[in-house]
Amino acid sequence: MVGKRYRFVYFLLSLVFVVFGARLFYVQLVKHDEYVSAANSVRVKQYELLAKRGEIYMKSGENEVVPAVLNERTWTIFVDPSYVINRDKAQAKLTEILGDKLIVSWDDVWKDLTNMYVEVAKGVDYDTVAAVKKANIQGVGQKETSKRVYPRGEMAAQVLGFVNAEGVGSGLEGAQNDRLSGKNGLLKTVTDVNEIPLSLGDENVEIPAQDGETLVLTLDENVQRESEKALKRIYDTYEGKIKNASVVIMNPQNGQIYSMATYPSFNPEYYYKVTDGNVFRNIPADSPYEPASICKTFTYATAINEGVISPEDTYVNTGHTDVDDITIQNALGSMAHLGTITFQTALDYSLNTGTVEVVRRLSSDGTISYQARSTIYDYLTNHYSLGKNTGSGLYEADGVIISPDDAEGNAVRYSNMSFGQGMNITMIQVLAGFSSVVNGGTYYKPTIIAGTMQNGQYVPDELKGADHQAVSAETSATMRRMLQEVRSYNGGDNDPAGYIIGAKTGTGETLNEDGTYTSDKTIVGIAGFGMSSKEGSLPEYTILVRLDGETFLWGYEAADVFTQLSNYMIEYLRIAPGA
Amino acid sequence: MSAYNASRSMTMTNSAPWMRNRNSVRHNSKLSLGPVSHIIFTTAVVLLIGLMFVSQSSKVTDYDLEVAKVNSEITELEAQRDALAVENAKITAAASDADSNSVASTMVDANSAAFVER
Repeated sequence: MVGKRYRFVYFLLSLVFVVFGARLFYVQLVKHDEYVSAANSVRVKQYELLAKRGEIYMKSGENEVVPAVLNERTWTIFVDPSYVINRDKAQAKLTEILGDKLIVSWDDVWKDLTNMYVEVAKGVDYDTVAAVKKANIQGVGQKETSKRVYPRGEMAAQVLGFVNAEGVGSGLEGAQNDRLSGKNGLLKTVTDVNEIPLSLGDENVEIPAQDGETLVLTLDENVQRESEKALKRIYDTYEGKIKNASVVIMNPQNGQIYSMATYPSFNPEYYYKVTDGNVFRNIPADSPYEPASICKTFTYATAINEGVISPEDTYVNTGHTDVDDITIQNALGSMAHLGTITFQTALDYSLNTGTVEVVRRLSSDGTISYQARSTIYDYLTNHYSLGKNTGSGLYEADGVIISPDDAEGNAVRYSNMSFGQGMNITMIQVLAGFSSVVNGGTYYKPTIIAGTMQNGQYVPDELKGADHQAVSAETSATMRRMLQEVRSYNGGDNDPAGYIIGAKTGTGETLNEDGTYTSDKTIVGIAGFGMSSKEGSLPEYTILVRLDGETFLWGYEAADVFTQLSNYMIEYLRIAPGA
Repeated sequence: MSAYNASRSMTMTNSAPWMRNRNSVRHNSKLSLGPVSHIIFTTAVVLLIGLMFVSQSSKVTDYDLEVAKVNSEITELEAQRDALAVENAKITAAASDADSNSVASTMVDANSAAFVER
């Protein structure tokens, strides 16, 4: 009897062990992966290590750099309503600390207790978040974020651009996003209940974030500031007449851009307060236009470089000239300077008939033939690199230059193109091409990026060097002399002695929606250079001004800006005067 | 040199040296552990090892917490540094702007110009 009981207990225990064993088998082996996964989901956390976005500096003089865009740590304060024990106390304390930084009403915070994350303030500074932490309110947390700050306010706003809430950048922030943004890292780790990473376990992975590059721009803060002041001055002087004013100043000996400005402007830190999206446009790079008579510089340089004209050669100016079935007149139908005049005189007075005649001289038959048009097209697109992205590092529009092989690339088109109409090109293209005409004949690709900051030190990029020869050195010297004389008729009285200043103005009508020109909306501009009159000197700066007007503007508004900036550059670059 | 080689050669051919050191008597201990003692001993060893593991693990965790605390302090100090750097940059920019105004005031103004008809 006793033996039977023992056997029964033995059997019962064995059965229990078998059940336990089976259950363990099921849990440990069959459901192994599932339970491991469930356990890891609780104790193993995966975080994205955010790369620090690269900052942006600009130059201040030859070797100094100053910050243009910095990162500032900010915090988002949030509330988990279900965790808050004493609502009245939490509400009162947070209201006291956050003040006008509160972005929600407290009724909205408490109305839905299932909502575990309600942001009550965004972009708060360190002092504020420190006060929130010190208050130690249950159910209130903070999340670190970052925002871009612009110590120089509106300076170079359109060039720098901004990064919107979705992380999409405009201006340089967008164009150089790959270099600025860096690469996020990964942290996969076991954490404790407070989500503090622990070294336990063998599944921890840490891939460090790679911070973005900190860029140094070629823009010089002093030149940039002066440029913006000059634009504001002319904008205010002609209040209501100027819609946008833009300027670019370049070093013609290497393509580096000293300044690029547009007015009206905005503060990129508060871009969301802007009501007119047009102020975001970086007009010098992204808004092609017809530069009008400024382009006569290119036409003359082409013909001189081809050896078909010299400044002293003459033609008969009748005030108008016929091309196919179109009659082209001088500006405003001017009938001045009629008769036999030199091409220098034609350029001095910006006569369209002279420029059309220059194009005819490019053809062996004296017409605006395919041969002449092909030569012009080759020079515009290949020698002066117009109508295509320059690779400056900015967002750029390509523009349009119609090929002579195109049905629209006819004689009328090319006669108009010879004085800067019937084509669309950007300011940065015009200035780079203009620089190549006057700097000795070398085309340098314009650039906005001078180098990077590494370990707090400015490390300049290697200069791009000459890209190609646009015109010969002799042609360039001739063009400098021609433009110097042109300048003497257009504000040259204000140029200091001992310097050679050359410039060409341009006044362009704009197109109506139906494609016809209107004089109600015009664009005036001027492109020029400055250098010492000492023998052997070459231009040390080139300037291009563009004013978009609602009503008719003469070129002198732009020349006024040019004069101010030219005089400034002579002093700023400490260009020694000649005898 | 030659004497050493001769000695080594002799050792290799003679088996007597290793036989001389061989244990010829085996002593059995009169004490032996019973099954209960074995279990207690084994359990004690396992507990000791476990204790060491837990001790080390908790020490690692302590370090992790310490690291997290230091990291937090670093973050706060960096935040303060960044905030100060921004303030410094703003003040420097304002000062630079003021300087440029004083420089500009000494420069020759651009006068209105005479222009040709065009």
